[in-house]
Amino acid sequence: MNSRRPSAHDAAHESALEELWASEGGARTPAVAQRLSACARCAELWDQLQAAEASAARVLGELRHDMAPRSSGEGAPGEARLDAMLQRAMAGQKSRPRVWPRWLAAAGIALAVGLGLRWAREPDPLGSDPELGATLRLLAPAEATDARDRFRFEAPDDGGWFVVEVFDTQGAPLLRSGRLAASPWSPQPAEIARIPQHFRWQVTAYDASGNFESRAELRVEP
Amino acid sequence: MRLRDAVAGPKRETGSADANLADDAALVSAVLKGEARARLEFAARLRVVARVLDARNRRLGAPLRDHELEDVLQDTVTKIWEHLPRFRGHAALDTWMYPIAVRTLSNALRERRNRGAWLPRDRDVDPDQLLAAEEDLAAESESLTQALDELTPERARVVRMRHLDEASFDEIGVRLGVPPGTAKTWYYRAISALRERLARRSDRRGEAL
Ligand SMILES: [Zn+2]
Repeated sequence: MNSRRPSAHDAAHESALEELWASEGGARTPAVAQRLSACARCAELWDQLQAAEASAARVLGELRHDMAPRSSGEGAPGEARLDAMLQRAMAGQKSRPRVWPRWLAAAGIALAVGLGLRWAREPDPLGSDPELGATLRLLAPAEATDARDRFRFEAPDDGGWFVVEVFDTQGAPLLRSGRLAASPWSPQPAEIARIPQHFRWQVTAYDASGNFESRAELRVEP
Repeated sequence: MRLRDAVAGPKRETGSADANLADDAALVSAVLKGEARARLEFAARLRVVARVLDARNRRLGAPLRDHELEDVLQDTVTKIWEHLPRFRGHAALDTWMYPIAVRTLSNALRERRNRGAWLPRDRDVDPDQLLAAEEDLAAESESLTQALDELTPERARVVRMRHLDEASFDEIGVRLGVPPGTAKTWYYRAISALRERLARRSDRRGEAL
């Protein structure tokens, strides 16, 4: 994995690429393409930049969707009940010691501050070695005229799995595959029928432990 | 039906990126000091958690009944309280609480699934697929929120404006008092910083092996 470490890459390349990413607004312009074809590590960094943006879009998009006020079920405010729950939580806290995740305790407070929150019940992060931004390339469909019966992508085979998702151009989720061991994903005919002329699809790669690894997307738009 | 009561609320809790982060940090600090008025205000902010749990349960075909969802809400509130001393304020309270809610719900659903007690009302859905998706979201939102929390508050805010509020660069520029081009550059610099945090997190995990 040493080839993935920044130290194995020219630091000047790194800052120049990030500058290019910001100045080109994330677009794969000819200047960007030239740089990416000249340096494999820069290409990998570019994939990571896109994965970081896609991750922000997905998580915050889900949050936005979940928080959207709904017409049904909007009744009287329930602060009193939530306050009672909060007070129960506070009371429980006083009577039992805080459960610190064992890896967090071992890593020390400085690291804890750097890492931000974590909690005890989540899968042990030490048990995985995600390669964020591992190369993932979406192949087809790429054009509005391409068949939609097979969603093909290229990805490293590292024992993890993939999930293909299809969204409309407004970002509303349309389809989601199950866990795939490999490309391609073949949706059911009824699912294919739900795909509009223009859409966006993405593939998310997870490692064998289920940790998020990388994501790539392809826009089939005019 | 009691959970639905808690789902209601004014737009204050819809998590706009304009929500004052200094207020969030000050509120949390006052709650931790045991101030009763702060606690009541914090309870109001928890309505967003109730709303999230309710929304996700519905999206999953409502496998949890109201009283079960009520238990998940209490568990989530307890975990939020337990982790509150680690809130830094950069990720905004709503964003910070989100992965806790998603993880607590997916744990409850996993436990239910293991007991063979999943009751999806829609017969077309595959519970294992839904559960896997829920756990994937929990993991990804944990990573993202932690990385956001390590950014400067300004950078985290631009990312939230873009993706939580779906603001255009024109709108972001107006809110921040800068030209749209500057807003765009700031946003892409923030994503760059986010990439670095996410990569460093994965490196740290690799080194720890
Ligand atoms: Zn390079």
